[in-house]
Amino acid sequence: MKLVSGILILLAFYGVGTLASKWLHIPMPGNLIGMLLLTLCLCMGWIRMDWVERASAFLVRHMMLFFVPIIVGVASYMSGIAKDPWTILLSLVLGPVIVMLVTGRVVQWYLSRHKHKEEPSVQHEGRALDA
Amino acid sequence: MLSQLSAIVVTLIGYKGATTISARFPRLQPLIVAVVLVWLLWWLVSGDWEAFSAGGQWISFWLGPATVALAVPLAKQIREFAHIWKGVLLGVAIGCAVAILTVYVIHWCLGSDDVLLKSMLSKSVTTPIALELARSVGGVPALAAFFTALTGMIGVLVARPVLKWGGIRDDWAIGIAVGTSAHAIGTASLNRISPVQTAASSVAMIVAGVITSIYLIPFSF
Repeated sequence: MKLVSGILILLAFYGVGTLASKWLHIPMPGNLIGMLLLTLCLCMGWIRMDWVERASAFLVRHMMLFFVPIIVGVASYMSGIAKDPWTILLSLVLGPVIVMLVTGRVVQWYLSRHKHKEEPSVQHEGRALDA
Repeated sequence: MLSQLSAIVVTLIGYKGATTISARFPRLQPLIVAVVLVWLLWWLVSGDWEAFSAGGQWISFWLGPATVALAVPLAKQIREFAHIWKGVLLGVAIGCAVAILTVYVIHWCLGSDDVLLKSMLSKSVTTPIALELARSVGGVPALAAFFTALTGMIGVLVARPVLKWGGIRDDWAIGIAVGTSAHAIGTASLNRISPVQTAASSVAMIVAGVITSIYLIPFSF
């Protein structure tokens, strides 16, 4: 029951986010608006964590499944991809490399300046998101 | 109706097969295996790609609620990240800007069509967000999903040498770098290494989604 009611809550937030994006002309995807609204509600305690915890873990664990049909459907765009192979290849390979380097350096630089002052001693449970 | 149903069944069978195979061979990316299996199965069963897309929508719809579900890990880790949030925000904000700039500069130098560029801008954020972003800036969502998945998979492949070469050793820095550049696929790959890196990576990927969507607002007009 927890799973079903949790999924209904998530669907409701998704619906509200989508409608807000459409009607209020917020230039942000509806799913993202829904996620931010739910985060707010969880942090404020308006929605209890245990109402949505199981449903959330279930959907996040199977997230990969949900984008399989989309990627398989891309087969019909293959001709478009073949047109600019170098642009695509360069963007795909250089992008992650540069982003990873820059982000990592910035965060490490920030932490090296601030860490001794406020040593974080919190225990972190590993919460992985499948793909 | 029957063809839509069989598309759903084929996708579920392919997914099940992929999780079984990649449990045995952890080096294989489960997503690639699933896509190849489903593609092969559908090609054998029917080959009607329009019917497949129609049926597949019943499954891909759930990306929406699944993105909303990311609020749970975000809310859980918000307190733990409270004392370093400035560093996380700074790193992710710069990383996302670099991601968009790289694509833009490469496309500008080599020249390519507009739709391709717009489908690539959001490629380093998590797929459900990348799809919606591509739609709102005028790209092709399916193409965006494809590039996003490839970016994640390439990110996982290059992570180890790049981080080593860049001298990035701090667990938080590694997690945030991987989450920003390789979204959920990168996050999943850290799971076997360190719980701190995994936590940092999942927060970074969510923050990256939000920040990139703000950066792309000017492109949607």
